[in-house]
Amino acid sequence: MVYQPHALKIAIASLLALFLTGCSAMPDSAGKSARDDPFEDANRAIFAFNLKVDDYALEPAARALRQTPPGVQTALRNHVEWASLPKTAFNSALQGKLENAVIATLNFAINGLTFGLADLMEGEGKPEFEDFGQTLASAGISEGPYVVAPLLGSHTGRSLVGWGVDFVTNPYGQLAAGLPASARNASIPISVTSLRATYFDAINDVKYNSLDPYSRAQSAFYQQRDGLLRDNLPASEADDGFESFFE
Amino acid sequence: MIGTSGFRIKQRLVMFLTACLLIAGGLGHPAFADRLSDAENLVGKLIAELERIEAQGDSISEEARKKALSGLMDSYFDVEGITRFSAGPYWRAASKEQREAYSAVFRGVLLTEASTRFQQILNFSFTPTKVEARGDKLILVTGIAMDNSGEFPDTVVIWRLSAIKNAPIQIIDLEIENISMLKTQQDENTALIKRNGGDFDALIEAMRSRFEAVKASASQ
Repeated sequence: MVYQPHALKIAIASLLALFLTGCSAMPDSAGKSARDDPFEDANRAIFAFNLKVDDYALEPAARALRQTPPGVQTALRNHVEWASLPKTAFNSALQGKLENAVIATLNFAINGLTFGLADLMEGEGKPEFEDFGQTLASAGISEGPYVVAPLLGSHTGRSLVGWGVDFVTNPYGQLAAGLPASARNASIPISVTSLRATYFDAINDVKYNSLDPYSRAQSAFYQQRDGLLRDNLPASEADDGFESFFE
Repeated sequence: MIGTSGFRIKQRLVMFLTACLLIAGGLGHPAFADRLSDAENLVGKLIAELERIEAQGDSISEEARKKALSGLMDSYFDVEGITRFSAGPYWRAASKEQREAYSAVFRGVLLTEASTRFQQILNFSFTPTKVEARGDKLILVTGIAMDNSGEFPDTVVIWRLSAIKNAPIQIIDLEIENISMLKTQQDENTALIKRNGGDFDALIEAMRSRFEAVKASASQ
């Protein structure tokens, strides 16, 4: 429990869906997670593998990136966010959130002048992040089990399918097709390293300071995901899951 | 086309419905409005206190600083409720001795971590944007946390406070970008107990080890 700034980074880090992302699973009366984790043993093994990848590749790379001037890091972060905008525009349109689709498109077009490295729309409206997993949720598709995917981290069955669809359909992929192969190939590692560097302390906090990093990551993932889905699903009567606090 | 009388009827209907909503939402109740304001002030006061302690820098000893933070925890946070909630449903099944042992070690973890990391909270400035009641016992103070260094983007933060009638308002949770610190801790703790076959002592032992590790790293 931690009223600490690292928590801020932990929280945001869960957005990344890397390894350590991770549910506001309120245990039921038997103490079993109310979340569906039928593959827990396999998930834990993959989680451990992802941690090793982080140990040997991402963490050192991110540490090195953090040595670069802040402007470089900001530019890379802007680019990563910019590259996700076509996906947001596409899925917003599918969900009928036309205003969000327009905002995402505008941000993409204007910041595209700098290939997303500079945020020329700073202070203007920012779109809400949308992906195909959220689109599926809007269509009433159930969330499915908890899955930790190699290299991709925490997902539900639905969000993993959504990730796959986004990967294939993201218009950015089509736009980037005209770039040299080296630039296309470098895009994903740069994005991942940039995100890892941005949330360096947060992810390390989960890695090194948790009683059970797997559970913490899973919990954070579901809470974050629930937050993203709040506008896709009917409002719950639940009182934040905090009813039992007053019992 | 709506005539003047039709417009007036619509206007009255809107006013009536608005009044109903305000009353139903508790906003028309001055006492509860005070509670909302008290909750917001409590968060502001806590941050100011933290700033005051941190501003003393090296002029106070580590021991004095820990004591001051311990005092803040007791004044501003519902430590007992947080401790109970963090153990999830296993708290009820725990013996008196187990509860005492867990409470002691959990408090130690809280305090030690707070001691080393509260100051980093001060890297963020908090601007409240909304204060709302959830039921008659819970108040949420929502705001934006801005990283003073510019390293992190603005972030939505929710302070969750207990507001039980005839009891002081106290902080019970901090939620950042949809992630509740307390619920995360509860999930982690209950998962650990569950994986140890429901053994509450396993949590106490793990927490104790962690406490020692945190203490050791804090003293480095």
